[in-house]
Amino acid sequence: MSLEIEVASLKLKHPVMNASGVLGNSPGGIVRLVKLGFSAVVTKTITPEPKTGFKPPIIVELPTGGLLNAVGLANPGKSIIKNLVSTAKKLGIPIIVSIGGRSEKEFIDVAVEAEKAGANALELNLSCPHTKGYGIELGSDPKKVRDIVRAVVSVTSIPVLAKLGLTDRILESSGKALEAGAKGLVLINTVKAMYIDVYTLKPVLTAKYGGLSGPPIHPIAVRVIYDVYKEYNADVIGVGGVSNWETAAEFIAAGAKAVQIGTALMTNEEIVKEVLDGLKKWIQYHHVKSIKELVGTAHKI
Amino acid sequence: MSKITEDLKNAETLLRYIRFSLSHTNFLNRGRYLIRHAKVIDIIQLSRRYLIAKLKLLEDFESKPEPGQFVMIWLPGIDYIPMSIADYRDSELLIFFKVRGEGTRALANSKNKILGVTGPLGKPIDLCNESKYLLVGGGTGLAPLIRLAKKLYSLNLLENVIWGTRSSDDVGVVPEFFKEVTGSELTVCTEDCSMGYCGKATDLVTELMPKLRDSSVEVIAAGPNDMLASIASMGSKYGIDPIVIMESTVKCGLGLCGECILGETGLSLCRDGPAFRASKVVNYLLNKK
Repeated sequence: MSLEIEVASLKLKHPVMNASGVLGNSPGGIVRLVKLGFSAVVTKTITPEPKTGFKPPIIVELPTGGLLNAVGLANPGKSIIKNLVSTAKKLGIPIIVSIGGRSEKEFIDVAVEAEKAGANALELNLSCPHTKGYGIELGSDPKKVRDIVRAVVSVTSIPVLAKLGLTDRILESSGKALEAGAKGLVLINTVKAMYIDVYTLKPVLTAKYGGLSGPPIHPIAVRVIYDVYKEYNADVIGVGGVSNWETAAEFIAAGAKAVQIGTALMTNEEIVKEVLDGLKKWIQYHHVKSIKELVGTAHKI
Repeated sequence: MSKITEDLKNAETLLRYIRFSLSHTNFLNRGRYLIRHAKVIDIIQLSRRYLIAKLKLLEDFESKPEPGQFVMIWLPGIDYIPMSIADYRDSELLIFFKVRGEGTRALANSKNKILGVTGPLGKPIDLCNESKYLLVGGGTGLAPLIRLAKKLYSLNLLENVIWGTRSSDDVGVVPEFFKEVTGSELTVCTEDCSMGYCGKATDLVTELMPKLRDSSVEVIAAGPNDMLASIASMGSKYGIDPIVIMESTVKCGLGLCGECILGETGLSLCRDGPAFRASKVVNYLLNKK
């Protein structure tokens, strides 16, 4: 019985990695992610120059479930990449550098630095919902997605993943990313949302809008993964509301080869082990030998 | 493993086994980190520098705060700041603080307003019922020691509480307030020698250290990083391992944003701390100094 999987040319000992944004902004954060048991670590989104991000509150729990965050892409800039990568290498774990930018040039700038540092893959953040000029404004335009992915692919030789968010054109954007040379897709990012405190009449997040994560977005992610896999048979990493083995298995059945976890770490630091234990039993339950055999099985009806 | 293999004979039992063994943590703790509303019922100026905010929680915490834990306070539209719990009783939360930024200034001016409180966050301090405790605070480092002193005093485990500040102007009625909440006296140190012991709190601890080594007194210190670094190195010199309650920028309080990771240790202040054995964080503190 095996949990080993290959996704976008990355060989992983199991399919659970962290979602970008949690902890991966310092060498100590990478150490912590490795201790949590992930098979690969994904850095926080890195921009060419340092960004201070928004003033707290930046992440809050919602009464309706899940988290709302607007960190504002706070990060120490591309100079941190070599420290993050060398920390992961020392601990013997693959590292994926998440990249943010406002233009092709900025994406290339960070991508080159990441490849030089020895990163195993790049994840292009084309879907951050709360920082103007970055993310979703690019990801919602399939042509821009194609141009950015193509630009990065043309200057690097490590696998490039495109992380896309919920828009009406996500299927089209996914297609363009693949056409431009992306080895895989990370689906989905947080969903633009808002939380207003009715006593003080203030939006709770300093940035007013934020990205919704956790269980409330899980069914949306399942739908997107299912549609994208059906259309393109692509390598997909599923993200959005994985909080136990069943929610991870659902992504895999929909077509994901790996999953990412973020929000669930807030309440459960044993989550990776629990998901893996559950997936092993899921493999047994379906009388197969490897998790690979269960990828996309929801399509074989 | 034998139980699982046996269950495998039957898909039904396997399914039950999976569900039973793995879903138990799923919704545990859900709602624990929600922002709860609180009304500021009083702001009391204890001295030139230090104040007390008295908050009444309108929605109670899920679990009773223990010494060592902290809260995040939301000043609507202004800031979200980490604060030690100076005391907590009957849904009433005491915060000991000084004005040092926009958030604390807003807190000082928040009488009768509604604020948000998230918590309790962090890990409670592991207390051993066999030893006596010496508590050492620098400046607002007194804040987390108040509730701790109250508990230790009631258990008759409190050796002494040493508090250092700059000058007698800062002291005001802090010792009286401290005694009222905890039952214990406060040993005051002033850097300008205008009151109590002449010097820093750490100077007094240095004088006491040889004696402490021979008795089984534990040291718990809270304050700025350089003070904690002195306490930690003093500890290693005398072969004791004090507990230090650390301060750092906490942004989310949930262990997610990574802002309060303590250097290469990978320890998270808001999740694993803010109280640590000095031996675990001494290198971090010395590098920061």
